Amino acid sequence: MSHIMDTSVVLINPSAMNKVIKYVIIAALFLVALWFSFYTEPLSVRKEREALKQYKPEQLVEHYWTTGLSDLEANALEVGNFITALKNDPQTLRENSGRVLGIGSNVCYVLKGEADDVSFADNEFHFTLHGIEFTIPAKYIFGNTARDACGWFNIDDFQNTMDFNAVSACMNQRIKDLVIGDKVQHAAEYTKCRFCGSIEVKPETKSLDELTLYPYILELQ
Amino acid sequence: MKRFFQHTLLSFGLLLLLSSSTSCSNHSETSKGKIAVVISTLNNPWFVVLGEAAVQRAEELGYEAVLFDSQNNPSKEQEHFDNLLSSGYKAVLFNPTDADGSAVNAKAAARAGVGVFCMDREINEPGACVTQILSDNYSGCIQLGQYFVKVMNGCGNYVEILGIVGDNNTWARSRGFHSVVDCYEDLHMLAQQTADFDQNKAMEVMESMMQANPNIDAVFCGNDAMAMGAYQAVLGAGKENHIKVFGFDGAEDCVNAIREGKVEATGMQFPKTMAITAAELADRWLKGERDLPKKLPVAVELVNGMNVSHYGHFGRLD
Repeated sequence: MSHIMDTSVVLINPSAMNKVIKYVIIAALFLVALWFSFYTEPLSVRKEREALKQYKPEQLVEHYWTTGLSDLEANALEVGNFITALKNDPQTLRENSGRVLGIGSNVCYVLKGEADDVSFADNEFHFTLHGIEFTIPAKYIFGNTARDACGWFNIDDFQNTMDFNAVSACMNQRIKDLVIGDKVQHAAEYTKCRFCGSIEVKPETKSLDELTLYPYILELQ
Repeated sequence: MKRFFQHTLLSFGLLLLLSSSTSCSNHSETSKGKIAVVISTLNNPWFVVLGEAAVQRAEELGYEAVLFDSQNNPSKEQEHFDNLLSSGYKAVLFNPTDADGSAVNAKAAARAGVGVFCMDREINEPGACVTQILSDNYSGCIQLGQYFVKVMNGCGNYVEILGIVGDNNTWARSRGFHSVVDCYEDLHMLAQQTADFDQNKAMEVMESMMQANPNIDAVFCGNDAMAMGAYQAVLGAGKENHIKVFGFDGAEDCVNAIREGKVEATGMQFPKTMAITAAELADRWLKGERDLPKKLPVAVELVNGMNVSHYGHFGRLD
């Protein structure tokens, strides 16, 4: 009986209990320290994580081009609808479908359509649609129209404007290399096209005679 | 008599005290607080316009505005920030000297609860500023590059004079220009050197470039002050009819030089627009609005001999 009594005294002894808690905590801390000391991960995972820390505009463009292009085409304005809206209510058109980068900037739109009078001259594709002469540059693609019209990128998300501008350079390069690509070599053979691309107009514009189009999609026949 | 003088003096003193306290109370009622306008240098007319326009708009909005000149010296800029942070300024309309170095000052201001609004020049610490109102230098120089190619007919030798190496605008302009010009293999860059956005330095740099390269056809300068310096060097060498000068900024003297056929083209930035926007955003922020854009580019327009009549006074005339 006295033995049992003694055991119960040991079990409820507060100082002994504190010691147990202390040892448990120390052991837990030791295990945590041990885990972080010997934590391993596959090299490929590690490399991938390190790569993500570095800013790579090519990867960023590739990601959006792969995931966002079908939506971009689905939401693009038909050329005829664009012309009518620009003439009748440019303000509403701008608010609903236009994208403006900053103060005084041109308004960018994404248009889609089909044409059957395609020609090629001076390193440019030409066609007329709804009375507007469209030009698609095939050799020199400059500017931020493709970047600003698509709405994929927000300047506030970039560390500085140089990183933001690097996206433009990548997009233009991609249009030149992949969208236009080797179509130039067979340019004379084509008469028809289906396209989805970016254009920009001055804020005060109500009617147009000509437009330069930077294509995201260009199918020629 | 003595007592009369004592009474008169006392009354006069009381009146003076009363009037000064009245004027103080009037002042505190009319002013909404103090806004500092810290400008990288007032040695360039373009920045003088930027600074003065910011002060004027801040005052119109009811603030007491004070202009600080950092003299293109980061340590001078830091002194200004130390002073203004201990002097009760509520916001800073800031034109930094260095994209990386000036971030420390902006962060110190942000920690003290002072709103920083960058004008024209960017800092590489976007979180330290409420908003950065910046010229779209890259796009502006793409336009300038395309015009350069047209004027040069796609061939020739040129040199480039860069601005301050630590300033993002320097590289945004240079990269925008080269994104176009480098596509033309018959355009050859013979030399590229910095002149720190300074007219006198640009003149010296251009003189030495012409000595080393007698066959220069054109010079692209990162700002108009350097373009004017380069033009002086070209004029001194008697090559003003051969070497074509291109600038960037839209400074008054350069626009006049385009009008007179001395300079080919420049990119018109709009310093007044940037300054006014910065002051108005600061006002909105001080009134409690927090949903402001982090970066706000301002479009740049190409000014050349064909459209120069529409430009002047650091902006559009119409």
